[in-house]
Amino acid sequence: MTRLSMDDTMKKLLLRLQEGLLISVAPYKALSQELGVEEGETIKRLGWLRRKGYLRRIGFSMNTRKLGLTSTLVALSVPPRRIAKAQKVIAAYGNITHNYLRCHRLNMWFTLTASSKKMLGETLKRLKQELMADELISLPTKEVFKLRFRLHAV
Amino acid sequence: MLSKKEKDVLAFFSVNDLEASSRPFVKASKALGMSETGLIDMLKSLQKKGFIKGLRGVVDHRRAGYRENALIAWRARPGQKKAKNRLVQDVFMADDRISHCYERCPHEKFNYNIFTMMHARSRKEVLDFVRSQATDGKFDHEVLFTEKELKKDKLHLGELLC
Repeated sequence: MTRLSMDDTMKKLLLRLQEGLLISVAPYKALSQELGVEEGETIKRLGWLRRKGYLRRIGFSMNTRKLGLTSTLVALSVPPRRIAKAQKVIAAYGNITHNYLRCHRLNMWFTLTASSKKMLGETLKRLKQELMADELISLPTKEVFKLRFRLHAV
Repeated sequence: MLSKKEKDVLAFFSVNDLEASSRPFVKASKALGMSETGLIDMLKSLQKKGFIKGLRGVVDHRRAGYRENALIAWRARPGQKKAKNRLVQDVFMADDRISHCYERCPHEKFNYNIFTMMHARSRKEVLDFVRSQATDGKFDHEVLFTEKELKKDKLHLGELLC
């Protein structure tokens, strides 16, 4: 095998990983057959994609709705001097998966999941205090039309 | 609904990635006190029942060349429900640059109900896309470019499934 790079096979692999693997004893074997390479090469390529930062992880995605969980998108306005503190507060929550600064008056946006509407409300109340926020704007999920990553490496 | 073991399995894989080896379930099954095939059968059944959506790779979109990311919030003007459905079904569903499309309950201080995440090579690409979809006055919208990622993590199911 030549030195690894973002060649056509690597691009195909990256795309296939996003589309999903079949659950089996050897999931990379089936994928390798599809790509026409040896399983050992696929595993080396996965290591390369990880090391180079293209691939964050391979793992299971769960249907939170089906699991009875409820989620919301939360927005608030955080003054610059308090951003680091707010980031730290949010880092401690295992049920907050995404937190971003965005160019807007409401500059901090995060997603929160809870086991019930009641728990969600309680967590929001606690967060409001911990974040010293005048107001948290909560935008509860009503329907998921699409959640699918299929990005081509460019 | 879910057995204790099924909850354990879901909680385990909510925090543990699949390793890159030829038999990636061997270690996981040992950690869970199951046989390798027992674990795989349970995972397949959880997928069949809809609790597991899939086994997928998560790509770093910035590294993959999509430097600009934006949350775009949309609201159809009154009487434009058809146009909204068309936008969601024909445009957002079909465009690979749109990774998320959610309907949310609006808030009086952020009065939009359709939320999309878009990944693009430049801000111009995002703005061109939005302009091309919202020229006919059927939608109000706001584009919120991502300034900085402060956190991106897996959802830890352990505590949530108790």
